[in-house]
Amino acid sequence: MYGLLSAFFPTRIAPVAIVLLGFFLPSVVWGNGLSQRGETDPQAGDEQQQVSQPAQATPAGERVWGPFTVSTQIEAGFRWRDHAGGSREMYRSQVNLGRGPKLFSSSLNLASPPESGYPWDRLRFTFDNWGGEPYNVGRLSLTKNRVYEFDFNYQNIQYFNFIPTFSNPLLDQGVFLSQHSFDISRRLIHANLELWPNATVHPYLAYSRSRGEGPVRTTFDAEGDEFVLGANVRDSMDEYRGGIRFRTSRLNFTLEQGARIFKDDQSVSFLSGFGEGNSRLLVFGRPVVLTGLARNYHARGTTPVTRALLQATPVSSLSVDAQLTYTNADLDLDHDQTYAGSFVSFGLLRAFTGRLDGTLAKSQRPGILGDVGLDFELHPRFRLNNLFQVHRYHISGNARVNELFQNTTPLTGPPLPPQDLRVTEGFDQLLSLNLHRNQVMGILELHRDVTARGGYRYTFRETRLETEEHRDRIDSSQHAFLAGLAWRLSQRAELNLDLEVARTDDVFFRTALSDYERARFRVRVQPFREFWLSGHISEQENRDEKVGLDFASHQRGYGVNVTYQPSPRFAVALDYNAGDVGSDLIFRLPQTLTTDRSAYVEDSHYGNLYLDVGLIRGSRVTLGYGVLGTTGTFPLNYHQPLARFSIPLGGGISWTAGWQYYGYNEKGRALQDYRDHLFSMSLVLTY
Amino acid sequence: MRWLGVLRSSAFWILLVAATVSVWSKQEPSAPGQPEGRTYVGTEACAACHEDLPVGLQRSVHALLEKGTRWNSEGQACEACHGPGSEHVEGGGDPEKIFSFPRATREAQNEACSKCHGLTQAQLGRRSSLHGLSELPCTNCHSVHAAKSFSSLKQSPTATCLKCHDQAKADFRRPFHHKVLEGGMTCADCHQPHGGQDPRQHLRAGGTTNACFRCHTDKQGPFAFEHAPLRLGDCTSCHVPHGSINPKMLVRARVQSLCLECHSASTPGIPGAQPPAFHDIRSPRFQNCTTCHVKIHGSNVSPIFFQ
Repeated sequence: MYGLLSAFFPTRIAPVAIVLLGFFLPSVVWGNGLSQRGETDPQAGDEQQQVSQPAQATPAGERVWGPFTVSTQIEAGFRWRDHAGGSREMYRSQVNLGRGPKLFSSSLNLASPPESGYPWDRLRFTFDNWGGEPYNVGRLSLTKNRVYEFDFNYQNIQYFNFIPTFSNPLLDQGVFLSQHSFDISRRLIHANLELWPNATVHPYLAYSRSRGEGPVRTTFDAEGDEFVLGANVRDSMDEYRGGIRFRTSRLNFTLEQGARIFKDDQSVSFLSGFGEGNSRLLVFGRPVVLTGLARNYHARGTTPVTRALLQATPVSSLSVDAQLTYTNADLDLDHDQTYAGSFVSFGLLRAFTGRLDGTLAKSQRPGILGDVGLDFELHPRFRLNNLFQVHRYHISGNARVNELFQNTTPLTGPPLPPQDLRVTEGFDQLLSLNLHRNQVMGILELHRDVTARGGYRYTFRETRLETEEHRDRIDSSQHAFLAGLAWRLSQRAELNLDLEVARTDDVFFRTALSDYERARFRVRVQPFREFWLSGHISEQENRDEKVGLDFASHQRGYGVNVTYQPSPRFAVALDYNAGDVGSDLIFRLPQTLTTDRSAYVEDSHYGNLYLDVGLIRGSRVTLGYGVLGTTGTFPLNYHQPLARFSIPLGGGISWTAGWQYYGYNEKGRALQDYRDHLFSMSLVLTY
Repeated sequence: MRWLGVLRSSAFWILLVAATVSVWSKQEPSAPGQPEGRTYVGTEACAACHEDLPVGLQRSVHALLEKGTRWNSEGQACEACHGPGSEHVEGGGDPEKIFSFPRATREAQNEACSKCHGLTQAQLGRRSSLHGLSELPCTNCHSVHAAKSFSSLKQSPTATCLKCHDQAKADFRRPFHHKVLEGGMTCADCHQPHGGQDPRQHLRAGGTTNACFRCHTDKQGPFAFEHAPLRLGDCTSCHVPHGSINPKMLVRARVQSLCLECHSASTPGIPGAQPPAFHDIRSPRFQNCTTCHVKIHGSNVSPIFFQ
């Protein structure tokens, strides 16, 4: 057994596999528990209830309110935050949970009797994480049988990043300012309406919107020096889709037409007080200074999307799934920039005091993406699946740049009176992909509970990248062999194994998957009704041994999850996960042209302990502790203990108090750590 | 050459198709049919013994079966999935005389569900997907009898996925991650749980195979100057979508560790390494490449992604 497993997994992982199998095999004989496995993550929201409070999994039960069947749950309260040390900005960049009144979660389910004449049969409404939270979510689902189905999702996500960077003009003065920071709010809307969904022919309409907006800090680069700029960015994408479905008992055909309309507007200006940049070096004996900058960026794009989908079962032993998408995206840009100060142009070998740039750019991307899947049931226990895919596009882009250098003077030679110089440049680029892939897989049911599969995948890629300076073209073929095994026994134990081995004759970029082996082993076992165990082992080894490249990388992961819940009043769970990422390559130092070897190593370990205990009169206490530690190129540790206590007050109301601590530390890096306590108190109304 | 390879991999099944056509008509359906002699007895007869099951049924979309609005199953919701129950009733509840999901093969279970759900857009590509190829039964995630939601999931959508994908759960606990465990999004915002013919069952956006562009629309382009790995590979060439120790969720902890893996080739002419970095990367000033190469996903102004 050890030898067999060692053939697939590294030596240090093989013992873990044996332990997992040791649990798996006896469970085939023992026990007959059928309860679901729950979740134990302290931050996983409703997952906790699956372990400790199975009786509340249907949140409120259901009550009758007039003609409606209703269930609702609302949790609202207040959170306090105590910053115990470290970087506040680092905390905001990672966690960003703040102080104030919060609507932690709310849901409403309303069902009316079918065919009752009300505008819906089912209404579901959820509203989670509101009150200054970094990710607000609202979802609405309405259904009227045979008339319509409507889904609406709203998300408002705050992307905040203010993490110190190396290239900081004020670093010498002890000011840790990020030159690349942002505080962007992205609002997402997805709406979908299906009309007369049960009809043979029925239409549907969909609308999506993504809009990002907020302040940004970025840099202006001049001859190796960077200056801090302030910007406001505002981009939006509106997607409109509409289509017709034709559905019979053996055929489902959909034809859809849509369009994406994209806008990106940025206004950038120089932040006064940072004109000396982050480099004190003189260039040709002159300081580089920025005194003013204004930049405007306006991009407009449209992408018509035509899509056809087909599902058919012409005979009971054959099913066909196909989709074809044609797009022709284009984008136009109007960009202007003006800046002033003292600069040097290496290209012109002149100093200058200001520059006016104007850029017009255009790009286009026509493309086809399609696939056809055929599934043959050759025998009640054997089926053959073939998937053919094609993906073709080319992107042609060009930019025309007009530059006016003001008050230029030569860097060398006798001084001359300043003069303006006008330069016009043009850039063109072509990038294209022509990909064909075919995968054939045989799936055999060895037994009612055991399925084995094996197959082969061939991929051909023709890739071209052309600019005025160089032309790259790579034609590559990849041969991949796949195998898998799924073993499931009476819902008490399940084992999955996947293997993939591939060989590639060439790749376009260095780190792409070339010659690789991939294995994944997963097991879930429930030997007793109160106890369940799951584990996984995964590994991927990739290398490209071409002369001058010699690249190798690996990614391994393994983990175990154990849960014991002898009664609804007591649950304990333990997770452990470990990962190992590494890459190894040779490179040439540009300064010395000597060859050296670079190795990246990242070992990580994550552990999580969770305990939930029911006390008197329905009160509960929950304790948890999660810790992540990494070693190697980038060591850090991250602690997250928590405690929660709840008491039922009667009338469907309970009171909850909680504490959570976030402790983050990047070892050896100043101001890249934080320690924050969060306290919360809330009322939970269940109806 | 490429077509030769495609044909070579396809030849096996092409031959088998021809051989199979002749026996199609002899195949027995795996899903519950209507064996001779069995008749429908109605939900009330089922509830006489299985008292609690119809209650759970009412919480899910399958309550509509009882009304028979589309599938001609009025008053026969149980038998719509389990087949006619007369012999089962007459046999004193003999489980061999009705279609029993726990006793059926995975394929037969899924076929039973596919009778109604098979030809829907959500199921497109199910059989070719990883879930389909491993014969994942619908009942692993869904329960008709003990549904916790209208969509008949056994647990919340996120908990349903993480029940098996515990490595993803560990990734979501890394310092920088998509806010799935916090409820800001769900797995289904990026993945197709039922099907999809992409390796990771990704949703597609705007004619690309990248689900990321559903939200990160500003990275979609097309750009006048494309960064090839983004377009030719996908976002995961550089990013870990679930969680990372890098603030930008890169596959390497530091920016330069990632960039230099491509931009430091020692042999001229190796694709993807052009141009090689010429900076003195030993200097801290040059160890965060995106300080200057701001528009690393693609630019419309600068061929070297400066703005």
